[in-house]
Formats: sequence, C-alpha cells, structure tokens
Amino acid sequence: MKIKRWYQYLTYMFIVSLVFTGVSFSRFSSVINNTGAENTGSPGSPDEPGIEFSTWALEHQAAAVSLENLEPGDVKTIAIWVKNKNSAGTVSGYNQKVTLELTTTGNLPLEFTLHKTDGTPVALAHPDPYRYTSEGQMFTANTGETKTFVLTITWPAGSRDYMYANEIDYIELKLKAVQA
Amino acid sequence: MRDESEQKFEMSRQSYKQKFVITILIAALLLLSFSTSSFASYIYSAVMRSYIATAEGDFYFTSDLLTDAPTVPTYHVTHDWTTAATISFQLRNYEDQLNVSEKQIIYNATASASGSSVNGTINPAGTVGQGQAVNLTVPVPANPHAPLEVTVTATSTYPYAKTLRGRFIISPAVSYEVAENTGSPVATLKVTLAQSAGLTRPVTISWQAGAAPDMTSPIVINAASIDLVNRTLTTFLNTAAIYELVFFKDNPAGNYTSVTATGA
Repeated sequence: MKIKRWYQYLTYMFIVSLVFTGVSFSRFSSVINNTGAENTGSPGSPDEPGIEFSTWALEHQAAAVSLENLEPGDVKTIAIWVKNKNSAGTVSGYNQKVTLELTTTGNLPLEFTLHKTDGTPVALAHPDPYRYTSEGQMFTANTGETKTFVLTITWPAGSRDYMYANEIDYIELKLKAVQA
Repeated sequence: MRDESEQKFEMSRQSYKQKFVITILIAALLLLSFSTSSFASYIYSAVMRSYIATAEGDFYFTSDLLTDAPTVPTYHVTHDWTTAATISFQLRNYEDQLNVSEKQIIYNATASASGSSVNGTINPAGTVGQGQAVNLTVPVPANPHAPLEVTVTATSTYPYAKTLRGRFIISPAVSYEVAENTGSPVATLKVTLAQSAGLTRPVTISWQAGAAPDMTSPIVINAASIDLVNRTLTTFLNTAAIYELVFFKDNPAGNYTSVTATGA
C-alpha cells in the first residue's frame, strides 16, 4: 500500500513538472532568426540555417584627471561616456539600465554633481555620506547609443578648515548595468 | 448494517481527499524548490576609474603669543593710560624650520571688545619661515583705573582658515590691592606702577577710619604732602615698581579694605 502511494506521488510530480517546467521566470531572452531554408543541405553548407543570438554589449570610460593639491574653491571635471555597443560595433540586443555610482572616503568636503554634456542635470542620490548614485540611464535594445556625462567635483570655498591640509581622499567611480 | 457500511465508505472517501491534497502540496513545494533559481537578469558592474584627491598641504599659521589651543593663554600687562595701549605680537607662516608654509597666507587680526584691526599677508620665502610683526591699538577705556580685558584674534582666510587667540588683561598705571587681613593686626596695601616714559609718578593714597599707616615707611616719610586728619597722602613713586604700605588696624578681627591708591 505504501509503495503504491509513493508511485502516486511520483506520478503527480511528473505531471505537474510537465505542465510547469516550460514556464520560466528568467528575464534572459534571445531572438533566434532562422534566415535559411530548413532541412536542406548538409551541416556547414551555405544552406545551413543562420541562427543569431542576441549580444550583451556595454562599453564605458572615465577620463583620467589629476586631483592633486586641491584647494578650497577648486573645481574639477571628469568626462564620462557609456555606450551599448562593443568595439566590434555590435549593438546590445538587450534593454539596459545604467547607473553611475561614486564612493568617497569623505575625508575632504568635496561636492559632486553630474550632468549630460548638453547641460541636462542628472540626479545624484546621496544615500549615505560616502556614496552617490545617479538616476538610471536607459539604453534600448538594438539601438546603438553613446551617452556622455560630465562629473563635476567642487571643493566649496567656504570649507577652509586648516585640518583639511595634507588630507587625502579616495574616490572610486563605478558603473552598474541591469537588464531592463 | 447498511448505515455502518455507508459511514465506512464516507470516511474512506474523506481520507482519500486529504491524501490527494497533501500529495499535491508536496509536489508543488518540490517544484517550487527547483524553480527559484530562475529569477535572474543580466547585471554588469565595473569600476570605471579610481582617483586619489589630495589637499594642498604644508599650511602653518602660528604666533609667538597667540594659539589655537582650547585654553586661551592670558597675559597680564600694565599700561599708563595717558595714551592708547599697543598690543604687539608676531604672526608666522611656519611651525619650525622643517614645517614652513609654501603658499601665501592672508590674515586679519582684531582686538575686542575695543581695539583696532589689521589685514595682512605673509609671503613664502622658500624653505625659510617668515614672521610679521602686528601691532593693535587699544584706545583709552572709559574707566582707566580698572583692568581692561582685550581678546586678540588672528584668523587666516587663505588658503585655509585657522584662528589664533590670546587674552590680554591691561591693568592701569597705578593699581592696588589690600590683602585679606581678618584676624591680623595689620593690613597690607600693595601698589603697582606700570612701566612709563617718566621715572616717577605722583600717587595719592587715602584710607578710612579704623587704621593708620606705618609712619616709618619710605612712602610716608618721602610723601610730598600728608593729612592725617583727612587720612590722605600724596607721594612720588617710581614707575615699573611695586610698593607695600602697612596699616595698623584698630580692630584686628575685622577685614580692613578701605584704602585707595590713585594716580594724581
């Protein structure tokens, strides 16, 4: 009787698995384009179906800028660009949401602002004294785009405490891209 | 007999339903335990670049009399209030021979509650430190016979802000005090004369009933005038000097304080 019951469990699991395993919660997706004739020719021949998989592509760069010997009132800018295609020119096949993040030790009273090169400001959240996070920048799948930004670092002229002399700050600029 | 059979059948049916539900739940839980790994999407994170920011260093702003220490130093000076007093000190762009400011320092110095203020700069001179003499003028106060407290503040405004302070208590040219004398047969008056251009200064000493001055004291002997009835004398005393005059009390138990010494 007990063995029969276990057979019943396994049968139920098998049936339920058949129904549900086709459903995935994954957000990965690939577009497969069959551009050739099916079931014709031998493998490797020109008639082989051409199957193209989507590519995840993202490139970025932040300019090298010297931040040595800063004084109260100094302003420095860092040019940044992000594009959703790789060096081979392949455009990303996925929508992407890109966030710029900046971390600082906070040793110097530096202020950070971000804007696009056309002057449009980009909101920078300041969740804690050591972290700044930009609002998400959207890249559309299969649409090549390069977004350029300028990060401005300002030492307010009013923050002149002599305790800042000889102080060092470590600033790290990060990028995070999420499939949208 | 039939009812008993029906009851058994009903119980068996209910038991079967319960087993079916439990089986489905177990199967669903097993399925969910396998499917949780599929909640994901592409995420990419990278460090674009890191920077080292350094602040302009080698900033030193010091003084021979003023300090940025929490405890403000106090200096006691005396002055003949025939003219305004001058507080002199030095501001420096170095701490010692090895620690010298490399950049120009802009500062201002003020004397409060009354006094002048100055603005100035200290320019660097290579590895050699520079000092600058600062003189602040304190005008004659409304009551020149009382000590005047002046706080001097020197603040650098470029490249960094640093504040140095010093407290100066300016006592008048002629000041005096009577020491506590309860239980003593004598009361001692101490007269202090500040430094002055003149070598001597006329001083008038007055006292109330209840005591008599020591008649053997040089102050009394050399007095220009003395009136024992009205209890007052005028004498010439050297400047930059301290004198003591003893008074003999009528009543040793009391504290005799009714003596004054003023510049004539």
